[in-house]
Amino acid sequence: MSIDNQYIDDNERLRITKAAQGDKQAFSEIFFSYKTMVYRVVCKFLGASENTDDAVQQVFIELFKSLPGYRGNAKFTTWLYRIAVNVSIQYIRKRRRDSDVESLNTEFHIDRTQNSGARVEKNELQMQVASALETIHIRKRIVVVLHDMEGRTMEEISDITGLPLGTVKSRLFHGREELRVKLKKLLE
Amino acid sequence: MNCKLVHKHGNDYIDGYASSLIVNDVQTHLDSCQECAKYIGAIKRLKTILGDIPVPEKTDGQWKSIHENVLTSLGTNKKDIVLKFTKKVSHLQMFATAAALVLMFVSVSFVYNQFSGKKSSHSQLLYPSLVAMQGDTSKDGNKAELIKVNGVVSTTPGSMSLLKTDSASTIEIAELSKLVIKQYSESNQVYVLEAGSVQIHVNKRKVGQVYVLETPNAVCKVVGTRFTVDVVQSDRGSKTVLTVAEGCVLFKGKNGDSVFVHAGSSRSITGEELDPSEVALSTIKEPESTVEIVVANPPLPVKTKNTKDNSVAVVDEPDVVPAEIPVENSIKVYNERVRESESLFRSGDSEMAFSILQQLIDSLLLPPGLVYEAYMKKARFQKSLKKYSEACQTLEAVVGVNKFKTEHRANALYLLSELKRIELSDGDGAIARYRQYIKEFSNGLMISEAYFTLAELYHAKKEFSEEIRVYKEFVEAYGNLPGIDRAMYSLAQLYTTTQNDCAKAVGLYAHIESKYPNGQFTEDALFWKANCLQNQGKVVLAADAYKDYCVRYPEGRWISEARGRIIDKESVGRR
Repeated sequence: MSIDNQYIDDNERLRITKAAQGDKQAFSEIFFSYKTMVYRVVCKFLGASENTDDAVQQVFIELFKSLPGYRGNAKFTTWLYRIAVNVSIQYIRKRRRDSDVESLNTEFHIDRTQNSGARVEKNELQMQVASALETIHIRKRIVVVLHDMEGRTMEEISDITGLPLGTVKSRLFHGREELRVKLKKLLE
Repeated sequence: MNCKLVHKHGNDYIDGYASSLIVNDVQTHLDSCQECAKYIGAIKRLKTILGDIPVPEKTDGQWKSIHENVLTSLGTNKKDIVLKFTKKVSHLQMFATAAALVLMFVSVSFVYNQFSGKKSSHSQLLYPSLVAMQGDTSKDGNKAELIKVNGVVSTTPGSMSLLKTDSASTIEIAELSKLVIKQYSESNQVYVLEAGSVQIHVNKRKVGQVYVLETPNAVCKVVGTRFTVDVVQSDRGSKTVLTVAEGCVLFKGKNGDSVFVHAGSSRSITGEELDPSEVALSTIKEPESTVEIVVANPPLPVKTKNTKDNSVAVVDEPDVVPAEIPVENSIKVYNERVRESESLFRSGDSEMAFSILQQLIDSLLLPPGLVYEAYMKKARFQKSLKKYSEACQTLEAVVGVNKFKTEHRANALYLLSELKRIELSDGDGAIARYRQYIKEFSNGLMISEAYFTLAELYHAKKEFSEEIRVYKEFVEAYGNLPGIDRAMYSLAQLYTTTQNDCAKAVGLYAHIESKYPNGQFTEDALFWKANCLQNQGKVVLAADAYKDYCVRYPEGRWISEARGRIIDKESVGRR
């Protein structure tokens, strides 16, 4: 397995190569390096539900299986994001199949940094926005989550999703527009 | 730059992708156009809120567990992994072959029994049932499993099962449920729900086919449908009278008005409109003309009562089921009903608004997530009307419903605790609820808040020993959560002020200093550590600690005090 050095440094390349060969230690290092990032992404799609831990595990399992295919022609984080997004979509679709409803069932973590009164109000707002996010189509939701919640640039989102840049922009626009309309009273 | 162009370039402007020319033009337009300013402001606010939504932290222990699960799934070295995947493939192949053989056998048996007229044995199901594995179905997918008569399907927390009982009928078994297969044959399907919740979809029954679900105190029986239709002429045009003898029929007028008509009832449509009230029952006879009538299948669940021999369900008028929610449109109708309740509430008709929400709550057709939402909306309405006790009751009800997701019940319990504390000023009630939250939802999103608030409540009651116990418990159990330094600091202060235990306080302050060098409590911890050492008579150590404070916080809030104490010590030393 040969990995181009363009997007990763030598240490990372060595670690990935070893992990692809089944080295538990190397894979564990990768796990602990990226666990928070993966968890954050999955949480933002699925919310802090009971499936989130399962989804995080699945991401790393899928990562392991796909490591031999990683050639270093994209950033490792982009590669990992791609897997995390795909696994999250699988879980969303499965949840929709199982519950037969565009779920309002997940909740996001609530900010703990403010005083009680303002915190409760901010929490409510965040919950309503999070709920509304769940109702928009998954194609738009991916872009909104990656851009507005994860802070990825358009180019990065284009790499992660494989979509043309114009499509990414368009979905972000429509996703935000849909949310703005749904949350009109809250936002204005 | 006009409004249309602002909308077109708005996102680029907000995200910093727009050129300086566009930025200038947009800003100039926003200065004079209130609508566009509102639009851009809304998108910015939305983006900020989305970006601020945090995610809960995980403890080291939780990460360790996830890591172990991943490694277990993958095996521990490449050889193991290769073998595991190879085995998995082999297992898959074997399973596929076995499943195909079973299906072939069953199909042959089924066809044979159909044409030979033989009855199937009571000890074996005629149709194979597909049951989803309990726990995580995403990894393993559905696994086919034959269920025998007297078999039991039990589900654990977070899992569900799906039973396919004949060509299209299903029983969806929610978490924490137990369903017993009492009888299963072509003519008789009898199930016993001993605990939990099921959602049943029953295919059309043939004459003589029985489908019954028993619970510890009731029987639900699916019945057929029998009704008559009369058409008479009136001065307003044709009048259609529908009389239902058994089951339930959806009766719809040409203008779209519709109603479910249950057994023992009769309704009429005159012209295009549904007549508002029920009419007298007519005798059963053949309909004289064709009218579009849509028959609801399956019929809505109905209240039953036991007959003398307790063997047959008697169909009666249901009093809890909302009559107008077809299963397949439940989400759409739910949204419409909620909007209706909101509109009524805003217009002042809170009674009707609550009535609609209660119908949704009592509905057997809505998934648990929507029922939860209906409960929470009801509680919010009650709270806004200052009906705090009623709101507490509503939230208590949510906490008690096991089929709701854990985080929903946790959320309701936390809100209940806050209501008791803030609105009802019920300190003891709030303490009990926060304690319950901590005990039952140790991984809840508000666990930190619950601990801190509980400690504050004990502080207000001057029960300092309990307050100490709460902080200690929090620090020991949740060592890596945000807010631990605050808990340690509070604990150290309590040791000093209420227990006069400077040694423990010094230990905690030192721990804060080392673990949170840039934390918000570190400056205070450093000063108070020095203070504690001074109180213990450890003059040299205290002086060093004060000096350390002065070096690290030359403009700190305790700087004058710290310098003063160093000078005092030196003065004492010189004497």
